[in-house]
Order: sequence, then C-alpha cells, then structure tokens
Amino acid sequence: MHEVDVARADLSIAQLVADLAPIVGADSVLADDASVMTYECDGATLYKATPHVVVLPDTAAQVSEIVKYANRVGAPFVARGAGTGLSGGATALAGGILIGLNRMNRILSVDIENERAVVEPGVVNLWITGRATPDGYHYAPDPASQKACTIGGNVAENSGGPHTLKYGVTTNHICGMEWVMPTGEIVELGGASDDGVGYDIRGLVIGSEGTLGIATKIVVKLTPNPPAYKTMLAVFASLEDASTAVSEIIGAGMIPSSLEVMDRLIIDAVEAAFSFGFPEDAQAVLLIELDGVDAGMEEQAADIVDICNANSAQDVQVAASEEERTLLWKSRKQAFGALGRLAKSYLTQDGVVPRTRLPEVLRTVAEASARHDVRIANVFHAGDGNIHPILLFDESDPAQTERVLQASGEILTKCVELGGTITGEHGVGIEKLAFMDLLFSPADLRIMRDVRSLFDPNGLCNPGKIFPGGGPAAQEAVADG
Amino acid sequence: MADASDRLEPLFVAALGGDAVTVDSDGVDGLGIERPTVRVTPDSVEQIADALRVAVEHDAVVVPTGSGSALALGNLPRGDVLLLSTAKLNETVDYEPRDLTAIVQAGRTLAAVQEETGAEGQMLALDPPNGASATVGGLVATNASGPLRQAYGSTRDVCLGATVVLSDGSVVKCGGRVVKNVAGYDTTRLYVGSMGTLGIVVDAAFRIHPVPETTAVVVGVGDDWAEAAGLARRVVGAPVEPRFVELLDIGDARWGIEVAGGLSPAVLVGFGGSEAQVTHQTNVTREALTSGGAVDVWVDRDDADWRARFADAVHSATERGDAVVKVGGVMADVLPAMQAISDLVGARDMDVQWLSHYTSGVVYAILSSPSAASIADVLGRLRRETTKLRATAVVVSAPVEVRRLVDVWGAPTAPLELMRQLKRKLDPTATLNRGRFVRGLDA
Repeated sequence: MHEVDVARADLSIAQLVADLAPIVGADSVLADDASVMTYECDGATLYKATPHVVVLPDTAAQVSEIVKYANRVGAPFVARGAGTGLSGGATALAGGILIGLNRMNRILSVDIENERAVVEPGVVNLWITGRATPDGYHYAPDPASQKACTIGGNVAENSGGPHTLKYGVTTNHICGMEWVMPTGEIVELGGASDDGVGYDIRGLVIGSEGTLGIATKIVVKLTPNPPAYKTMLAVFASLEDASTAVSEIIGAGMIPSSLEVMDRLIIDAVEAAFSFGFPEDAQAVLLIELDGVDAGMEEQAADIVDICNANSAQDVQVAASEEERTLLWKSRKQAFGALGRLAKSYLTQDGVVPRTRLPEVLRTVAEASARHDVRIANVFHAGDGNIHPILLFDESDPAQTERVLQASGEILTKCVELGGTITGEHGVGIEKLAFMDLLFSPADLRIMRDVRSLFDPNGLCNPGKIFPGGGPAAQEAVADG
Repeated sequence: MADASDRLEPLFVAALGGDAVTVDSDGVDGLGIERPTVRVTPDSVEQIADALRVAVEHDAVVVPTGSGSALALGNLPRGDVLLLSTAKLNETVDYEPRDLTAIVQAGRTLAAVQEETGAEGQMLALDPPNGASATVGGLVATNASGPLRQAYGSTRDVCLGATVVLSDGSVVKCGGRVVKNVAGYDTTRLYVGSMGTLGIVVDAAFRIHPVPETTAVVVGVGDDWAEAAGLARRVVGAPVEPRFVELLDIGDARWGIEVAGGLSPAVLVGFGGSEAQVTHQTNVTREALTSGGAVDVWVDRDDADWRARFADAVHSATERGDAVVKVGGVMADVLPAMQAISDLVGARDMDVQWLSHYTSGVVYAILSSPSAASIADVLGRLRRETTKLRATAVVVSAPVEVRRLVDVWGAPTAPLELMRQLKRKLDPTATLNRGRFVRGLDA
C-alpha cells in the first residue's frame, strides 16, 4: 500500500455504531471488518484506508443528521457513490464515517417538456439516459464508467467523457442541487433554471471532490438525441500522424462529438481480447464520431476521410449501420477492461494540454516510459487535449510502484509546462496532491483553502484531498480527532 | 460638504500618476451620481492592484467599468464611488486558432475579439444584451448570454479561466486555458456573474468556436403568443439542431420589420452549418411551422440581422429610459411569465416589447412608462408570479429613478449567508461594487 500522510482519527467504533444506528437504522450501519474493507479504496487502488464505519442513508434528512453528528464528535466523513473514481476522492483517508449514497438512487422526476430530470445522488449515470431514451433524450456527460458511476460522484468530480468536446462536462449539465453543507445544513443551490441570481455556488461546488458538501438531489439537463451519427475509425502508423489529423479536422472548422485515440499497447490488448483485426504495424487508432442532422454529414465524413488519408492513414473504416457503429466503439469502450490482461495494476493519468501540444506531450510519455522502464498505454480524448496514459505495473513491487510515480510526475509536469493542467476529469484527490503547487501559486491556493474553511470550518468533510500538505483544515481535524 | 472627488483625486494621482486619473465632472448617469466622480484608468495589472489598495485604505467604493455599456445593470452603489476603467487593458494575451482558445484582457471589446477571431473563421460564441461594445470583463461579470446560448451556452459555459485582482491587491489565477480542467475548486464559476463584487477580472480565457459556413433563420408568424410558443415547441421536437429558438413581437413598430396584417407573435429559428445542413434544416422547420398552423412562414439567409435585434432592442431601451426585465425559468415558464407581465402591464398606462430565448426559458420584457413608480409596482407584483414559477426576475437595465425604488435582483438562488461569507472573505471592506449586487450581500 502506498503511504498516505494523514493520521487516522481516534474514534470508538462501538460509540459511532451506537450513535448512528438511531439515525439510519441498525442494519444501515456497517462496522465489521469485511464491510469496511470493501470501502478501503476507490478506483485509485494505490491509496487505501478503511473507514471506522459505513452508513447507508436513505434520505437527505438522514445525511444531514449524520453530518451534524460527525461535527459534534469530530469524526471525519466521506461521501461515496459507486467508488469508480480514479484519484482517491472516495477513500476515507482519516477513517471516520463513510456515507454510502447507493440507496438514494431514485429518479425523482423526468420533465421532457423542459428537458430536465431530478435525481438522487446514487442514480447511475446511464440510468438517466435509459429513462429519457424513449422520448429521444439523453444525459450528455458519459464517463467511461457510466454503467456504474453515480451522478453524485459525477458532480463531485465534474466528470467528462468522450463526448465533452461538443457537449461539455458535468458542470454544463447541472442546473441545481439540494446540498448538505459540511456542517449538516440542507441548502438549495440553483434550481431548474440555468439563470440563477447571486454567486454561482452550484458551479463552485461541482468538482469540489466531496470536500464542500454532499449533493442529495440533482437537477440535470436532458439533451435531445442527435438525429444521426457517423462513426469512423482510422488506423495510423504513428501517434503523431493521428494527432496531426485531429488538429486538421478541428482546423477545418468541424467539431466532431468524439475524437478518441488509442495506441499500440491498447490495440494489442483489445486485439487479444476481441480480435478486431487491426493491422499489425498500426501504432494508433483514431475513433471519430460526428453527430447532428443527416444532411451534409456524408460530405463532412468524406472530408475527414481525406484528412486521415492525407496524414498517411493505413486504413479508414466508416460505420454503415448502428451495429457497425457499436462495433467500432467497442474497441474504445473495452480498452480499460482489456488492459487487465496486460498487468496486475494500472495507474491512469489524466493530464490535459492545449490540443496542438499533443505530439510534444506524447513524446514525453514515451521518454518517461523508456527512462523508468514502465509500460505505458495511451488512450486519450484528442479533441480536448486530455491524455490518459495508463501506467502498467505490479503494485506489490515497491520499486516498480516508485518508478510509476516518477514517470507519472514527469508527464504531469510536462502538461503544466505546455500550458495545460494535471487533471481533466478524474480529480486531484490524493493522487495528484503533490502537483497542485506546480499549477497554482500560494495565493491561488489560499483562495481555495479559504473557500474550504468557510464551507467546512471543522475540517471534517473528506480531509486530506486536493490540497498539498493535507491542507490546514485536514491537519487540524486530525489533530483534534 | 466637499465632493468625494476632491478627497480621492490626489490620493490616486499620487499612487498611479496624473495620466491615469481623470474626473467625470458631471457625475455618472447610469449610476445616479450627479457629483464629480474620479475615474482611474490603470495601464497594467499592477496599477489595478495599487488602485485597489488605495481604495481600501481610503474607503472608496470601486465600480469597475469597461465600455460602460452595463452601468444600467445593478442596484445603485453606496459610498464614495471610484470608477475603475479597464479600457487600457485591451490586448489579446494569447490566441491559438488551432486550439480554439483565446486569453483576452478585460478591457478588450467583444467587437475586437470577433474581428480577430473572425479573421480565422472563428468566434467567441456570445451575443450579449449590451452588444459588441461589451468588454470581456463585462461579459464575465454579468455572465452574459444572448440567442446563441441555445447552441453554445452562456459565458459561464465558455469561460475557461481568469486572472483576478482581489481588493487587497493580490493577483490570483483560476481555471486555465484548456477546455477540460478539474484541478482544484472551479473558482472561475465564482467570478462569472458576480458583478465584479469579488475581484476585478483582468483577463479571461475562453473556448472559441468555428463560425458556421452559412446561417439562416426561419420565421414563423402566429395569431397569438400561445400559438407562437406552440410553434417553437414543434421545432424543439423536430429532428433539427437550431442555434436559437426565439420568440419576438415581430409586428412591434420598434423592430422596423414589415409584417403583413400587422400580426406580431413570431418564432425565429436559427441554423448554422454547411449549405446542405442549413438548407435541410430550414426545409424541415418551414414544414413543421406550416403544418403547425403558422399564418406566415419565410426563410432569411444570414442570421446576423436577426441576432443583432436582441442587443439593439436592449440598447435602445436603455437609451429611451425603458426598463428591461429578464425572467429566467424553463421552457414551460415562458408563456405564463409573458401572461403575467401582460396582465400587469395591461392594467396600467404602459407598453411592452417582447423577446424570448424560448428554449432557455428566458423572457425579456421591455417596459415603457413615463412613471418609475408604475414600473416599480409592476416589478414587485411580477416577482410574486415568478416566485410561484420558481423563476427569477432581474431588471437588467433601468433608469436610475426605477432602480431607486426596486431591488433589481430579487431573492438569490443560493443561500444569502453563504454569499455574504464569501464576499467578506474575498472583499472584507466591501470595496468592490458595494450595494450594487444582491441585496444584503454587503450591508
């Protein structure tokens, strides 16, 4: 397990169980070893810490009571949805109370006429689209984990996905929330309208990684389904060619809904699992999707094929049916799963660079891979400049783990140097704490810390995340605990 | 009593030099200030920081201004006002067309941004009520939006980051220049729409969009507003992707449009894209409006004139001394909000001109009346109706006499106490735009 520099709160498990049971019911408080172990980490498996107890509330009032109780006894608390996060946001670093929101999983209303739905935080991302599909609508942000991840977690992380180039990220699709403050008070932030009055607190708390409170009700926007799609898959002999093609597609004034690139290692993995039949010397696959009205789409697709060919594409396929579209997407959607065959552990990075700097950052990834002897697979949202180098290793080998962290650091440092950022959609969490100083000055961070202490004066709401050094609030909380 | 300008002028001349300081001797119309008022025009971020430090020390209330096109927005400021103009910070810091992003200083006008990006076949996809004279700082401060918000969102959706000077003179950065960024808190959202009450935005990064190859507008005229809204609704359900769906009282003489039969309620459906995309969608829309019972339907190529009408209307309303009210709700609120305003206006000697960003649930009502009191009365009653709809009603432009009588913002949609605490944290002396934003924020 990787060392995490936050002390475990000194709390009596028996006391927590006895006090929380009246709030949620005895069978909704879990404290046995097997249960708390289930919650020891999220998708960032390098970082593990077990909560003292897990509670499973069913209502906002219960969440509020739990949080108020935590404040009375000085217990840290962490909200969690599906635990699919990739930066450790849902890991109870200081122990304390883990608030599992999976039972608050009701779609409360779907208002097609106004293109809104009201949902509870434990609702799975894809369920909303499932409910809206018969009416020709969907919920646009579609992280790769959308079959499992919850809207509450999406709000916490301001999640993206492969379609953000055209449709934006979570914050562009949330109008309002019922929100439990870190002190337990229930407040309303925004509403069904996008035209609020006053400070955009909704926007401030989206992406706050569970440190500014807990969403208990979320008003999401529904997006009309595009009348038509055109999905293409181009194979290149180099990542550089694929990246140049991406720049030229966008330079030509087109905004495809997706521009996804996968490199040779990923191709190998998906080939091993699914035998797509990609050329053996292919170094990059570019998945392109256009959506919109049918008219004119053939011409756009033809332009894109021309651009790919002009950049030495080895092969370009255009999906002729919905089945073929699904098949082309399958390689991308199964990429992460397929990697499981290649290594025991993997760490997915999430840096962003201005799109035109993609070739440079990819060179850095390749250099870091060679220098530290770490295999790195690349899959990325090329349209957004959002790279996902996947570092393959065995976490039981400390020396290898250390090399992985070194290589990660070099990649993120380069992203910042090139005018980008250290995380595009996964969050800082625990994993990227050390890199916040690269990106922000002490004055920038002071504002964020001020916001945090204003929301969470007792420093109990998901301590140890986002801010380098654990943040004064977290340190105080742990000292008090 | 000596004018505040006598007290403040020498302080700022000493701090910034005489070149940066002038006095508006007749006061400031849009803010209801009739006494001479000091205006500083810093030429650097450092000078802005210096000006703020002096203002804090000597209790001047700083009203940031760009082109001055949004001075008629907001409650009236309290205290000894110092105008802080961003006019000299008017450069493009960085524009990379192939990245579709630009960082622009606060004092640069939208017109200048559009000219520069237009040369690359691109645009900043914002068409605010105060038009192309709006500055970048003003867009951010007001979270501006216009018809194009249907396709591209409001300023909050296209602003990627900013550099902000706080009232203590510290310079902070938020967000970044890439389209996806979740590092740290999204404090950019805090400044967007904060009316300059938390800090002075000195530059902002934006997502830039390609200009469509061609555009067109389908106009459908209905017998009444219910019918026009019904037509808009049909378009929402049609297999097309409009850039905007607007309602407009097209027969109102102030628009200067010739309409047969003097009919007024119309829906405007804008499209952009390739020739084939636009032609197909205008055909589909024309058919949907015709079969939906529109009494007249036509297509205009190029949407520029139609889009410009929105800003022109707000601008001329401000010039005339009318009040402009913006109701923000959802689509189903559009008709009830218009009905509520009609009922209130009909009972008084008052006139109303309409424009609605229908799909965004936004209604702009331009109210003409010689009496500030009757406009204030209508607004007070309107808020009761919009509260029932869970919509907001903001007076986005009104003469000073009206703003003396009403709170232009109404109740905030986030807890006031939390907003007060944020304000105290970032601007403890309430130096920035004191009194101008949500009531009770800095009382």
